[in-house]
Amino acid sequence: MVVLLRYSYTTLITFSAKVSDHAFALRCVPMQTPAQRLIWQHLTVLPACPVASSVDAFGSVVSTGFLGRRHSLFAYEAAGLVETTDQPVTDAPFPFYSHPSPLTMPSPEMSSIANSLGSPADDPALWTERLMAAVASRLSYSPGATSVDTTAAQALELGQGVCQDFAHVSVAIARLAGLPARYACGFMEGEGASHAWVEVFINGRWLPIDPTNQRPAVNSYIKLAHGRDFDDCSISRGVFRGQASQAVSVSVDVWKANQADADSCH
Amino acid sequence: MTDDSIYAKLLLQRDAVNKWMERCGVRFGIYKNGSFKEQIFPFDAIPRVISAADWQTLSRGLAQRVMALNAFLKDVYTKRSIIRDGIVPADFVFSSKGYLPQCEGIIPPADVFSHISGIDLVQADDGTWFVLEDNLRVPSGASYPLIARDLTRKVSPETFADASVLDNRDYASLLRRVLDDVNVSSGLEVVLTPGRYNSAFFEHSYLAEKAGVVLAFPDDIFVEDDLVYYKGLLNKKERVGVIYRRISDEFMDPMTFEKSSLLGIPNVFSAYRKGNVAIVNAFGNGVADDKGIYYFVPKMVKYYLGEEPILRNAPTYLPIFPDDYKYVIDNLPTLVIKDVAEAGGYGVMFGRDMSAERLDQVRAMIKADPRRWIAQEVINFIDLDIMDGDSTVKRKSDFRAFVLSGKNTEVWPSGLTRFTRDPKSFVVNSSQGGGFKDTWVLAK
Amino acid sequence: MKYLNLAISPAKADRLYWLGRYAERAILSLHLLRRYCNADIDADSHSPLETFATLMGVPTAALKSGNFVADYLYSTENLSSIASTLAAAKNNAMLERNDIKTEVLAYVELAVNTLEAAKANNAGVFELQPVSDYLMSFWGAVGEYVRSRAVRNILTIGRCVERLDVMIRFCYEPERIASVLETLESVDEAELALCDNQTIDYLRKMAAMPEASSEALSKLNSLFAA
Repeated sequence: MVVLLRYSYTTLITFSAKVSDHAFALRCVPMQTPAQRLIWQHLTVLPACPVASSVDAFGSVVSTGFLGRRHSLFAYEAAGLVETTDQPVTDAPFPFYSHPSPLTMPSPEMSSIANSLGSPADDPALWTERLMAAVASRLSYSPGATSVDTTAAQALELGQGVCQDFAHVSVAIARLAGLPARYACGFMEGEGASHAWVEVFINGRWLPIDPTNQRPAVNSYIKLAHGRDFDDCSISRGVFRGQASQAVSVSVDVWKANQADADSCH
Repeated sequence: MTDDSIYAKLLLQRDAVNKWMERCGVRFGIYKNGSFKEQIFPFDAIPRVISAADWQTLSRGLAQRVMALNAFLKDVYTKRSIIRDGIVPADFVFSSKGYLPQCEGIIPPADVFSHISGIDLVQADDGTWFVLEDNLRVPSGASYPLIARDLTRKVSPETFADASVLDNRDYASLLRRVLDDVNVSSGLEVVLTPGRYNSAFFEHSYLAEKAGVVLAFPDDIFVEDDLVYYKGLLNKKERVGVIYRRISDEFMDPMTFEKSSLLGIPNVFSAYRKGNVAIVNAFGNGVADDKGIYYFVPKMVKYYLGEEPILRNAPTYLPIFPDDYKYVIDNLPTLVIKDVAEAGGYGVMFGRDMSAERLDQVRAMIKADPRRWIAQEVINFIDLDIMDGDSTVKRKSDFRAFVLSGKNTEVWPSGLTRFTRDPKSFVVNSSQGGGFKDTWVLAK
Repeated sequence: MKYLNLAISPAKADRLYWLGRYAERAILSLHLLRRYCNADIDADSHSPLETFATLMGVPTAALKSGNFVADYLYSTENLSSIASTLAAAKNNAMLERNDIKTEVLAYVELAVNTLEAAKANNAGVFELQPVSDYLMSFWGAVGEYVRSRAVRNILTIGRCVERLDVMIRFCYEPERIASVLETLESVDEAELALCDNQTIDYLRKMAAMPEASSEALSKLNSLFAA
């Protein structure tokens, strides 16, 4: 199935006092993969400054910049059009996708869950369903119960979390089951904020799954980044000099586009 | 110590040497009870003396070892052949805290990862040298014997006129040559210091002085458009080509590594990945100086260079290998057991200090988690003489040799010898008291 | 070995400027303290010391307890003391070792160590000539060892500003003030650009009108913008 998705992602940061020497790193340009083709995108940053683009070791596009001069407002807008398909993604997994990462260290409970899921190779789709069911039965979706620093083991013990935690726990269990697994993040149609999901490598291909919504992560997902865990996939990081507090407002819009949108020049 | 030793005249001048040390501010800082204390780094005038014959072997062995380590680092972050060929188990590499996935695929200028390698050695009482540890991240200490030599020559020129000691005062120019070799776009060369309250600040500033390069603090540098710049006056900026950073990987870039670091240069990793700046030493070297990887270094020499290793590791056993496991269990009372896990808390344990009950406990721990432990033979180091008032006493000491790699690999004909004050202590470490000696390599 | 163009950052310029000021401040404070202590020998009350303290703008509390000189020389709690001034100079000097060279830094270390030893012996101000000697040597060594003109210039600016500050406070003759201004202005254009032109013009006019001194002092202290 081929789906055209338009996205628009804006962030506005207002500082309570002027700041300077503001360095930032953003991952808000969708990745090019066999299953996801970026047709066009633009990224605008204000105040204006040179924005450099590169690809990190995981394959995510990173946009970096520096605002030396004083400012009290910082904003960026990322927009684009992506075509998603069912094409299998078969890039050979880096070895580190099979090893624990700082936010996905194993725990005995995760090991026993991994052992209870049966053999992934026999029926990959079924296995991933079982994985998602196992995680969903142990975690209830509760915004505010965890933070960006919460580990998979902590979330599991708490029994609560958000999409980041559902993804971390799933990734940890998959690796314990002997499967390479990576954390993915980006946009999802209907979600007003960024979303996190998982990709598990079984029988030579990466299967995208969304443990928070218990469904395959296909057709309405735009992937911005993937890595071992949340820390490898920061959508936005920044530091600045100045005594100021920040008020941040973010809006994400993702909607299905039609062929006419794709054909018109951008 | 005999009265006709080659350093006898120098010892008579040790008060003068200490005055010079004070005058030049040769300090080392330590954090004790939450406060930062700086003191003149205690210097013992009796040098460690290495014979010309020993040095022949040592220097060839050190150069060989560092070349193999650099080859390993390139391999780990690119083809991973040594893992595919079954020499080093994948687990050891990918569960190492020093392995940084962000470095995958990055080959630094001139293929050099560890430009300044500090290799720690000990000499056993039968004269054999063993490598204790490789330090490939931010090895410290060359500045102390460097300045000590300068001062001791001034104070006792006749000592050096009579004895033929290889000159070591070229360290800074060796360092400079390495920086020149990897400098990208003939940019500025800087030593990056975290600041005044770092234990080794003296070294940062002294090496910058002697190498003729800029001493920069984190706030002096910024990255714009993935290019690295030094902040000049009146809003000018100058392109930086190489950074000799005295800050560890995790604090170097809050955009890539530890988010809360205030010591780093945001986005410097991005500039490095693009090849726009050289970083000395490169990111990610921790995978090669990891306690668990040490065991494999002699195998690296064979694998990458096709040579027999000249330098020996302290005999080490990894219980995850069945033969080693059997040996360790059978010989536990004669071995020293080390915990590879960072948060372990067990540190270093000597079998000879354990009761029968404790020995069994340790055997059980090893059986339960063999990957976590390494065992080594206990080496009786030669103790060195140190001055104690007008007489001497013997104390434990180690030796850190420095190997510099740019377009070529050079072994510095000297090194840092540290000793403990406490006669019962096996821990030779600048932060625990103790002091340093110069290291003389004889020309003949 | 070719010395690279020693790039200077605003933070570095600031440290060099203040090193120049603190080193000069220590020299002038010792010199003037000696002069006023000398006058004090003949005086009935301690009015010379009080005059000194008032002109210098330093705390006068210790005058009542008869402890003023020892406090002004050695007290680390007194931020205006010579010990504090030297500590500040040393701190900046240590951070600037690679630009000023170990040989030059050594004179600051020697001055500090000598003062500390003198404190332990309760030495009086007239016994502190060696401290002054080392500080004079510091400036001599700067001339001999510091290769970078830019670094020397910034140190000189600091030195001149401090001299102007003290001279204005102690009402030195206009010709002497003008002479220091001339030295300041003879520094290379690149570094002189760090100084505010308007303030320099103002100081030139002020040199002929000592009555405007307090305003001059406050303007003077915002002269250098790294």
